[in-house]
Amino acid sequence: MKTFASCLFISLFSTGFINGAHQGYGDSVRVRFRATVNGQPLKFDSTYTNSFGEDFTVTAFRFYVGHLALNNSNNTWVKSRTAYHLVDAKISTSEIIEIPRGTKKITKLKFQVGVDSLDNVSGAQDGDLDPAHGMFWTWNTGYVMAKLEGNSSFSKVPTGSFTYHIGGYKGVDKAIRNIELSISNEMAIAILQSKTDDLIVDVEIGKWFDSVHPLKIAEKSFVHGPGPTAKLYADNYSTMFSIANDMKP
Amino acid sequence: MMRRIFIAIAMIFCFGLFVFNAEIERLAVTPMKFPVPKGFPLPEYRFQNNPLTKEGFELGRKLFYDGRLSKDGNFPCASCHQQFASFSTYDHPLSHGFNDQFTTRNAPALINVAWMKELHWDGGINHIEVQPLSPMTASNEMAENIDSVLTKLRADNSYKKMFRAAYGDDKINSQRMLKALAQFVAMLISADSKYDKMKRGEASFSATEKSGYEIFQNKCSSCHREPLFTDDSYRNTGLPVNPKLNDFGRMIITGKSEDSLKFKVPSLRNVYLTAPYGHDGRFYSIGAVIDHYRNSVVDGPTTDSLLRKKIAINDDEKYDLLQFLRTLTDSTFIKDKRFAQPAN
Ligand code: HEC
Ligand code: HEC
Repeated sequence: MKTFASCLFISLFSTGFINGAHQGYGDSVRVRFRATVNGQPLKFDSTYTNSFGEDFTVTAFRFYVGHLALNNSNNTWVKSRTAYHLVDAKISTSEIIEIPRGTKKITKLKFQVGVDSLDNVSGAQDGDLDPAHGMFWTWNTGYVMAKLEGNSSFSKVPTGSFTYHIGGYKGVDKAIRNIELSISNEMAIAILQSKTDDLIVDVEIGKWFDSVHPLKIAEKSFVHGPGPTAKLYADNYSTMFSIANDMKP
Repeated sequence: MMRRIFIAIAMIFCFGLFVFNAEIERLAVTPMKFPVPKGFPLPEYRFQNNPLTKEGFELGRKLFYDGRLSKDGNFPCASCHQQFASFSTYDHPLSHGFNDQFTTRNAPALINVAWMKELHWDGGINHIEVQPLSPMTASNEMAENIDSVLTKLRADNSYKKMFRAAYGDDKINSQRMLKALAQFVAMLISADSKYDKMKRGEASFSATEKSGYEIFQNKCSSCHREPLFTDDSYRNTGLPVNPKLNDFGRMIITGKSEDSLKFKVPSLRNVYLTAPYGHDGRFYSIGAVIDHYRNSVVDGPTTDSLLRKKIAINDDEKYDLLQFLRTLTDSTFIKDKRFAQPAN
């Protein structure tokens, strides 16, 4: 159950329209986001240590994936049917992604972490953007684009927690990050020959603390709004994604 | 070429109207017109994706007066936004909220909200539809969470009926609740004061009112701009910060030091109904606000350049100004039955 909970699934539907021609559906690919800490699948009851030697547990981990797309033959992007997916380490859903028949090669996966500026200023939304999901600042309108919460003995807040709520859609505060990942030939072939259904994206939580900027829990135990600090975390977590080598038939 | 673009735009426009009408027809709802008062600019909120209907408005009205939107049932929107006070909190610098707590700011009048680019004293809310999330979830106001409000609404058959009437089926979600509230709040239009009647040629000002109007146009209207009596900007009027509240206004939202102590220019429509005054309700009378402008503006780094040297107003002018401000009271609005608590 624990390992299952730490596997995040996301669905991607291609529209089936490429270069104006209706090609019909061929193979299907399922893109799955899998949270890891120090290379191991996330477990909510485990205590981890970051590269500064700070202990931590994770109590919540969620982020918005927007405009997920696969690069097809001839450099064409096949977009997912839904604009946004809220990935929540506590909830797993799984759907199928379909790529057009005749696809010869898949080379890249791209998406953004975050919600477009326009969707931050357009009033009440539903689906994955429903503010009831708790990824929304009510006093300073805007989506929390990624959220990491946990506990650490290094935390500077009395409850011993750390809460990083990262977002920002305006001008210099923009925290939207674009991600592009290359898919190895081996993986692409396996997918196209239906040897595997899953394209697993590992999401390494450890990167939040140190990948671009050193951000110790002891120095920053919470971020609750957009601004320069939020952007440092966005820089860090923009490096947390990699395509796993797992191939599950 | 230009012509082709024009035709294309016209077609898109017609198609848009068609879709809009088709939607309304399918739902068997009663469309409502949003009346833009003569002389007003176009509203900021134009009901995009939220066609104004009688059913949506009535649902919003019920929600506005329903205590179940708050944790203990005692704090509907209307507990802080009272119609007889132009939907501000009567006689309270700060309003009561959940668990004997107070808000940290004065509850503004809700009038002509559809014309606001941003909402709240610091402009932290960028859209009328998402505004209710703020009081609903604030621990010192309604102290609720959205899911639990929705659970309460879903358990009530009269809501099921009203959501179905407004939206075609009885799905109750946050989006529908928020859009209905927006319909009600946006309809709170005030444009029938003596000032408006004078402008329309239906009434005339006395000599004092006329004189007060001139003084107002010279000394106040660059910020309290007609016809909305606000220019929707953020300004520091030289009020010293209240050390108990430490409220730095717009800077909380933008993080910029140049926005420190700036607050949204409030409309002065119905100002005689909305005492006390200022973002923290520190002034008990309009006279006291005018005394601030003439005597006690603090010249800090972000104080508005129009106010640095204070505003010269003698006692006669003050009297006339007050007489003019009285003409902004819209008694039709506060008695309008459409905005009152619904019968059940
Ligand atoms: C506990 C008192 C309280 C309750 C309950 C309350 N409000 Fe308010 N309202 C306020 C205060 C105080 C402000 C000013 C907030 C600020 O500037 O930070 C405000 C501001 C607003 C504004 C912005 C007005 C402007 O000029 O910018 C709107 C609109 C509004 N409220 C609507 C509502 C609605 C709708 C509800 C119910 C869902 C509601 N309020 C519930 C106290 C309350
Ligand atoms: C530089 C812009 C500016 C000018 C000029 C100005 N005001 Fe204001 N006024 C404001 C702002 C901003 C506020 C809100 C201040 C606060 O609470 O922080 C305000 C608040 C008020 C209030 C309180 C309203 C309420 O609902 O709380 C009154 C009354 C008022 N002004 C009247 C006047 C009059 C009369 C004049 C001309 C003598 C005037 N103002 C000139 C910007 C201005």
